[in-house]
Amino acid sequence: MDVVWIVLCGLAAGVFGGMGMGGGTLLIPLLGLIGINQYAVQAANLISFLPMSAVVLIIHFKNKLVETKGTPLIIVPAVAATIGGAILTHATNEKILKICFAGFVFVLGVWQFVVAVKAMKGKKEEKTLQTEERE
Amino acid sequence: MEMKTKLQLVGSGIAAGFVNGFLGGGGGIIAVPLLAIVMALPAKKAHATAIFVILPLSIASAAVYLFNGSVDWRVTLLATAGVVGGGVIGALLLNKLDNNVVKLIFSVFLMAAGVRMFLSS
Repeated sequence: MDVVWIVLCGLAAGVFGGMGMGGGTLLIPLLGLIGINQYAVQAANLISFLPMSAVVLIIHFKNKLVETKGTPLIIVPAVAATIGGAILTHATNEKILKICFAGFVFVLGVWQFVVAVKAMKGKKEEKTLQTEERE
Repeated sequence: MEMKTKLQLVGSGIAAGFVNGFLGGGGGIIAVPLLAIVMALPAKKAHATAIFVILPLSIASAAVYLFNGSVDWRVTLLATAGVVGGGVIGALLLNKLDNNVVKLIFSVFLMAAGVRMFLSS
């Protein structure tokens, strides 16, 4: 039965991921809810990101949407920090790791909520302006 | 490129890299707005460039998780199958739904997931 749940969690997270939102950020708590340990969940998220992003990246390169200028300045320290972070994960108690992740997704949720509400308000004002101009 | 911009790029890399490695994800969500601000990229380019930045990070951190024996291949492969299927559905729905409404639903999911996870830990 958990086979179905795991695929469904992936499916739900993938839908948001396919729409350009952080699907992986949702996959981790969803898989955690069905009782899979935090380390395995995080590893699954990292690995599941690889095939999809490789394909998407080829398309983005073809469409000239990737800006490579200056990126080594981000990538090099980021790789060092990510290795440090991943090593720290395994030295961290699962309960503490879960609390850190819970705090992270909650803050992220609040931030995304504010961004969406602001964008919706902006759209409404734009529409009102357009109607007024037409009148 | 100005020294200030260079330092901002390095700082952005460290922040996105650490979160991605320590929490197993979320680096992309941080990288997109940072790239948009620091490199002054439009939204679509910021998204595409973020994937270019996050892909090597995910490979590096996945290697550490693998080395530490944290990978459960059954869970990983099943979840990946779901993510790929969901990704296709999401891409097809992209222009059919109001992006802000989807973002709003997504944000509520994230907040609920955070609260639920905190309570269960």
